[in-house]
Amino acid sequence: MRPTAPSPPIPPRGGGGRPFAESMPRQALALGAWAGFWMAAERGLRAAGLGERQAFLAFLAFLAALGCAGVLGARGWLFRLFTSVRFAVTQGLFLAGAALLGLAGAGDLPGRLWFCALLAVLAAAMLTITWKRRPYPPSRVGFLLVHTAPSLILLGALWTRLGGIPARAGPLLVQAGFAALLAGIAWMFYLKPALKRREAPRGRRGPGGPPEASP
Amino acid sequence: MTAGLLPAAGAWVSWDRLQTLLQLAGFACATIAAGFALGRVRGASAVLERRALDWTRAGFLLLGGAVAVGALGAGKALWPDRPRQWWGLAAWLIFFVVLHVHRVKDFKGRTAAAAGLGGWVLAALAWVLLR
Repeated sequence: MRPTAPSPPIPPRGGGGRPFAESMPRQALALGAWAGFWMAAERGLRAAGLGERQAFLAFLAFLAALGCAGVLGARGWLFRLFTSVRFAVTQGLFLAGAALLGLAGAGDLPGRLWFCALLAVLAAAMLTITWKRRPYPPSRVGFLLVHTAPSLILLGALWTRLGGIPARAGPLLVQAGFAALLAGIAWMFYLKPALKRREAPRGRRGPGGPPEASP
Repeated sequence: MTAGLLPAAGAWVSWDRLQTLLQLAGFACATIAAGFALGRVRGASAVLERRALDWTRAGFLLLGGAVAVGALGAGKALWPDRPRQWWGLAAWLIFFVVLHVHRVKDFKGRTAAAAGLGGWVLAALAWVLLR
């Protein structure tokens, strides 16, 4: 009896080589579909006679429902996607493209639901990454600041847009968010490496020797 | 016109000028980074890639400062509404992408350097479009 040939490896879910969290072309398509969906939804909401504020509240309600459904039904998949560096790159490309549209005079982008939907995904991804990296020792303060600051800025903008009370809270959140973002970047890129360089010689036994092993 | 979120600056220095200065400094850093990235793409050692990354980080911080000053100190609060502010945001996001590309395993090396170079070209083209 002839031995049977070894079966080919089972492809990952999705059928096309890489899993979704690692496939940038498919992520780009999905983000495009997400933005397209919100463009159509905005048109539909306006056609139904909803004002800007009502349309925005409907958008937020839908996002909240979708977020709950995602956490209940596809937590692991969303966690892998949102914490993927490739997804961060894809989102960055999309948002840079949107900013270039703003540069070309595409109108009031921050007032458009599709742009807000992209920002919402970015905020969700950043908060998920922050959650993944817990606990937060002092060496990760910069990382924590950088990844929570955009959510603070968006929260402040949302507060202001919806006319939250007290009115000063929105601008304060935005200011705090920008300050945290810049402090976090400076900490991650400059202060932390400088502190590490200062502390490095203390851990060595002699000139050029290996660092002392911790017990 | 809505008041900005930063206190009013003096006549000789304005938030607008500060934003321009930060943008120029950030783009200058990005230009130096692009020079190193070009060397790396043409086959130079990985040391150039590291230098390109260092300069990209500096540019990212300065452009981030420009975005913050633009959003907080400009006439209209919270959202940038002028083309130059959109350029700053686009350039900042481009360098966000470049910094993250260096963290993707498959892209490390010359691909990441090429991405840095491409990002700079895109930002420069957008600047030309703005002018």
